[in-house]
Amino acid sequence: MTPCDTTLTQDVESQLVAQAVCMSFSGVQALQGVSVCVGKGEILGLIGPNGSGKTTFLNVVSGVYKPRAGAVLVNGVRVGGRSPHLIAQLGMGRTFQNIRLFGHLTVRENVTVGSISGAKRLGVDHASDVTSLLERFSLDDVSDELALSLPYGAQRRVEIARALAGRPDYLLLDEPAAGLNDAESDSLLKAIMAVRNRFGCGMVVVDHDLHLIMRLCDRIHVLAEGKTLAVGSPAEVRNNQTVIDVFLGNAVKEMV
Amino acid sequence: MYGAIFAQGSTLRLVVNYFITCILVISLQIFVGNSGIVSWGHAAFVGVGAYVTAWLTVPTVIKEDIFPAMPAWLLEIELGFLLPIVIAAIAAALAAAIIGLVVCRMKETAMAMSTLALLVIAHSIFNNWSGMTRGSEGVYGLPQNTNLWKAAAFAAACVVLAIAFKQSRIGLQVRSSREDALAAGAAGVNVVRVRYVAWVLSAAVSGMGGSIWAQYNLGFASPQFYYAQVFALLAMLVVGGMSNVSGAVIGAGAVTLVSEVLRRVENEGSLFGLQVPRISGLAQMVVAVVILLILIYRPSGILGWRELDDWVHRWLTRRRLKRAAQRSSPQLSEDG
Repeated sequence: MTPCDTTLTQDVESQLVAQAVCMSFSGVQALQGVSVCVGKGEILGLIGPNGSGKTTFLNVVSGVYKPRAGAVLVNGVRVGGRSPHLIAQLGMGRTFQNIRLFGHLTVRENVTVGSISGAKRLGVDHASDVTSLLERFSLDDVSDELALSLPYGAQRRVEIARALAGRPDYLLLDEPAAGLNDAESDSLLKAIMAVRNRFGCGMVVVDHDLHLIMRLCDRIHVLAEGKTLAVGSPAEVRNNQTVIDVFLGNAVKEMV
Repeated sequence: MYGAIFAQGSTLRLVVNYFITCILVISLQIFVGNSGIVSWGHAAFVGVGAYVTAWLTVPTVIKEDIFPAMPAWLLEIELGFLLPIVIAAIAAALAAAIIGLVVCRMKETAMAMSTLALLVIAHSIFNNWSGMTRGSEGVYGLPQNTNLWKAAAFAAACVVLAIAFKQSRIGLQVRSSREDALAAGAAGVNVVRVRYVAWVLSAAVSGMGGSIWAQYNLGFASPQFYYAQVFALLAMLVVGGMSNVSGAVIGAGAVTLVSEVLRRVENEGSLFGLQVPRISGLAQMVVAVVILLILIYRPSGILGWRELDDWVHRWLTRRRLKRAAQRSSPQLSEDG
């Protein structure tokens, strides 16, 4: 059974769908037939041990890698093999595991770059969007500073604001809470929730912080060695014996 | 006319050449500074501009002697100052538009290498198409249409153009690709396309600069559009701070000034009354050392990552805050 069987028949036009995606690097199978779908307004958690293919999956979906087999559809448009910028222009935003800001551009310029493609797609003015995003992520005070001069937590916020500035339908967040302390991680959680409510975009969140994932996500997709191990609600995944055995182990027991 | 302002003709020459150099360094800044990709090939576009200008401005009476291979229709043409500049810019832009179709698709390092190839190819054309370029023998007979004010006006126009481009949407997108091409793509930037736009615009300004330069120096030869010129222009850009237009202007000034002082020292054999041994090439060596020192102590150039007006603005703000603090502190002590 693929996890998308039930939803695929519904509204593909308003979903991000990956069907049986395969990816390999010089013989090593990084993804073996992974199928995922995310609706607008839904937050999907993608978890799994190191090397299970989480970041590879995000890279395939955002066009950094071309999948060896399988298909990716954004709102029903097949994007397999298209360049990242074309996929972004279709409404896909993302952040990176290691923050990748435009270091020598100002914070405002960083966010503006993101807004240009979104404004083009939706035919709207982008300047006001940028200002409100800067306020929303408490970046208005530092908007004229160079991005690389900001502290780590603020850089994470700039990256999310930049991705949102493109007004994406789907947002891929690669370890947004990495390196944040509990308080920062908590406020990030609130910010992501608020973003979902305000912008209504679907999200795929990869993170090692299971506590965050369990609280944040509507559904969780567990990967192991490039294959789907389980899909379900946080409660279902938490109680799935295979997941506990293979990957979660003590972390879940502690939480339960 | 200029004698009243500049006592020496050589000083006038220096200033005019400085403005022309500014145009060339700014043209390089438009591509290299915004995209972060080094181009060795811009001397080719300067050359295209210069040769096109020679073909259009050399007086018809001597044209056939200088350009034996020139087609008859071109032999009839003798234009003034402005039109050759426009045509030179268009010619350089066209050349860049064709070359860019291939070059701009490459990865950053491959692109830099291919511009080196472009320089060599262009040089062998300039060198060997003797019926139209006279190769290393050189072209002569161009009128001196460029003067101080024209050169200054064009340099100022180029500053405005380059800043406008840098601040434009496409300029911002090119700069984002300089910082992180992968992230720029993920943010919806068509990196190849925006680099291509910067490349063509930059070449057009190079061609324009080449035309203005040719119309000042009366004659030139193919070796002038080769490594030495590219290195000099790149050095000025890097010294000033390549991400800034004001960096290009200041870098051109700094290197021109240091070279000129050293050249005079070399010729006269004295510096502020001190005897200096006459060693030919000393000037170039000292310039190289100065550039090295700047790069060691200030790797992002004299201006770093901010434009001159931004620095001035920050300085003024800081001074205002300081004054305000000074004014309020005596009151505090009275209160205390």
